[in-house]
Amino acid sequence: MKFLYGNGQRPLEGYVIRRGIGIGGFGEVYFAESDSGKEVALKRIQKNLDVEIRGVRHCLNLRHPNLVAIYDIRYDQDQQGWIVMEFIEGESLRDHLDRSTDPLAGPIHSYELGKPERILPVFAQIIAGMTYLHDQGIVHRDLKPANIFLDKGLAKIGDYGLSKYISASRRAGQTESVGTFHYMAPEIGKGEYGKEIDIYSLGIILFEMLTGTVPFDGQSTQEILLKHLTADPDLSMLPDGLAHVIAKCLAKNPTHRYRDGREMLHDLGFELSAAGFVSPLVASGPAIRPPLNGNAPTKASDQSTQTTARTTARTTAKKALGIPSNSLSTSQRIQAFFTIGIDGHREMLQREPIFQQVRSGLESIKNWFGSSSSKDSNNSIAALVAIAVILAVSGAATVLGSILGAYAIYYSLWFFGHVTAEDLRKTSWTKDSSPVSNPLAMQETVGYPTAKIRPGTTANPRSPSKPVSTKEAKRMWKAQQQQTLAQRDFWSSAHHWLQSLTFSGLIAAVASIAGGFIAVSNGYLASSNGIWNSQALGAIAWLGLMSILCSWTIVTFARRWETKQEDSIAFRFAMMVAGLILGAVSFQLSEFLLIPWSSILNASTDFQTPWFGKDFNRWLKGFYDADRLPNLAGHMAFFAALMWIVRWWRQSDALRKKKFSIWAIVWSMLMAGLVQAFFYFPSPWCLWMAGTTSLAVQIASPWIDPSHPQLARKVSEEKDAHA
Amino acid sequence: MPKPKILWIDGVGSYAMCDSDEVSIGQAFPGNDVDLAIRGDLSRKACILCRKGEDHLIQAYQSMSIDGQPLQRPTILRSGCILRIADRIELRYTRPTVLSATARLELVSNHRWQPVLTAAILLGDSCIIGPTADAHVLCPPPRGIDWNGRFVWFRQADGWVCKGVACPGLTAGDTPIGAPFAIKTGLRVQSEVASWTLTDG
Repeated sequence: MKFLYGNGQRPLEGYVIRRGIGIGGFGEVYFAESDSGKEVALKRIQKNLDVEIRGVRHCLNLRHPNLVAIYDIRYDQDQQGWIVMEFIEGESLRDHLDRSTDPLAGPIHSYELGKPERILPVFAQIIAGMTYLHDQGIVHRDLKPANIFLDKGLAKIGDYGLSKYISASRRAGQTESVGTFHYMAPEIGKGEYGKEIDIYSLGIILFEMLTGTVPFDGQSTQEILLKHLTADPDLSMLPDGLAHVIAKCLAKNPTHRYRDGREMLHDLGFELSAAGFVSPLVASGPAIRPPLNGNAPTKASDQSTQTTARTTARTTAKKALGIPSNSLSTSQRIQAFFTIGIDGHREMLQREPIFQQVRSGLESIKNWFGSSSSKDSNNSIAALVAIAVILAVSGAATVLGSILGAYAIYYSLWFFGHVTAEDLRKTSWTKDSSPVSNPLAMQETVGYPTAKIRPGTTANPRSPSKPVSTKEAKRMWKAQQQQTLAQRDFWSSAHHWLQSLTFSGLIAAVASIAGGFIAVSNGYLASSNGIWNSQALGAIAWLGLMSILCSWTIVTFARRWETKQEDSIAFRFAMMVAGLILGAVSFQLSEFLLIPWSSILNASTDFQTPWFGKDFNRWLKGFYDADRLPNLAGHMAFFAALMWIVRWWRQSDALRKKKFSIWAIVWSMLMAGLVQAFFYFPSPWCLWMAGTTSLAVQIASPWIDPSHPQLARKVSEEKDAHA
Repeated sequence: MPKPKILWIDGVGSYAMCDSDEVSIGQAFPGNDVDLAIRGDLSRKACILCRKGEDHLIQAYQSMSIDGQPLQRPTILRSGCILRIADRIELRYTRPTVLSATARLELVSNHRWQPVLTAAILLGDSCIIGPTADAHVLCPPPRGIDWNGRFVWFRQADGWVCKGVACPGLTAGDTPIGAPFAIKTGLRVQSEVASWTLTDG
């Protein structure tokens, strides 16, 4: 390690260098003495002078025993910036942890790994320092063991170089990527720098102090960042109380973490005095709080007492929280039925025997068709609906409705009989994955045994981690990508839009011509003499043009919405309005091209809406003319319904699950069939048009591969540039 | 009697290199002429450590204990023992390797040396500065660098000589060094893994 200055040199007036202390991201740090004998640390700012000085200036007058004091900012003769700081004689927590996990490093002094009764008093001081910073409106943003110093029993937070004021209105105001990967909260990738990122970092640090390893590790920065985004820490080796605290700190959603350090201290069994000093929580704390103040029971004789305490406190917690222990009351079961949401019911359906059988059968059919790659339950549902539509079209609506109704009643009864408290604990059913929102898990924090990790345990570079729910991972990834997409300039967005329009138009045209050939081969367009006629060509032109217009409409809306949070109701409404216009155009086009729908349809089949029979036009007759063909209102109703019923924007979304899905086409056609069943729109033209539109939209729309960690790479590049 | 020299190692710490046969320990205050001064509530001259061949002998001038046993008479120190002065100040005496009589004296209690020291080294005939546990002066390499070398000091008739073992880029006062060199105060020794300077105390 080479430093620019050596012992005895005086680069800064009034101070003599004694030795180098370390070299950080921003510059060298020296131990020096003032002319009067004051021991100080001098930090020479080499990089990002303005950023560092600005951050330090904000912290210049902060005073707290758990913060490294900053005395002054000085400039040498070369206008090189120096920060005069408190000299910490001890080592950094990083060095301590490294030494603790090194079997050759000799005795460990105070804070052995895995001993909460020794670690927590030190960790509580770190929280106290952080809380003081937050109280001053400052987010540290780079909390890590290398920035925490242990000085004769005192823990001090240092390196304010990256600290920034909390700005409630501009939390995303920074453009630079900051922090250290292992301790970096997931939302930093989105440019959010709230105080929650410090809470997250503290959760990582506590985990590392207890186990000697970080919860999210990997061979590359991308891997680490992705784990921050998508993986849950493996807390199985930790006592319940500490696991609860760490899990809450490491919640992916910042709003689910501790609101501040005081709340975290309280859960660890400490409190903060008005002066900012940390002390063990007095006995008047809540009954369900774990005794984390260093008095953890360790002897076998304490086990019975501990068990009794657990039971008592557990009962108290249940009463306080209104949650029964083993079973749910009838009212809770009914409430659960309506509150667990689609995901909850989906999970319950996986256990319901009849659904399992049906799903298994559908899987077999799907595999038989050679599309077994996707086992997503949405496809099963789509297939189920497809069968339902086919049944409906074939006139079996009554039978189908009866079956579905009976199943709904059966499922409700089955649900009430099988839902348990354990089911309600499943994090995938709740938005908050942390145990805080989970009262039953909370009771497990009562009392904790001695940590299972012993001193000398070596760090495991490949710490195990399990994935979060697919839905949560997908949501986070999408949010990150939307952030990236939103950063495009106007010309880039316009380029992608025009590209999609051109491409989708070409595909729609080609697909329509191909559809024409299919129609001819099936006799749909043949005239009496069996060859193409101008009317049939007109129908193909209608198909092509309407497919193109529908595609353009969808692509335009999708490009506009791809950076926005999905609002299904609003989007459907907008699409429906667009459908009304498309219907009007369709009607005018039919009139202009003189398409004789009746003769074309008569050539195929005497189709009639199955749900209303031949007297269908009693209440819908306003949509049809005397020949039972759709008029202007019919066209508008059909297109409005078609645009409304299918979430088309998803097929064009750059962040969709797959680039191309045959199921999306099938689904679109089935939905068109469903709409057709109501409005008796010329079929199969409307089905082809829906299928062609879906095909064109999917192929022409840009797509970002979810498996490609673009966000991670972007953050990594920014970090590298920053370094 | 000259005060012990101070070894300043960048990124590691500072060490008092006690070369004389007798090392006195006392309270740190201006004018108190002891070899090792501690900022604490102890006597001006609390004790003396004497080198006797391969061992160190301690003689107390105020109430002291070793590993909890009151110190009644001059006693030979053994590696790992804890010296307690005035009930509060605790020091650990360590001999990292039996191959050398050099010992390390560290403050264990919440007290500090004056000036700031990581430890005091009671020099025998050799001293090892390196990253391994048998080093008298523990000198871990910079993060990310794997180093198993060492600086070996050994006593000669006319002073101390240093030999760098597996120390890449070794220079002494900006002059590349390949052979053992004489250690002088003020001479800055640098390598890619460690750099240090010895100064007067």
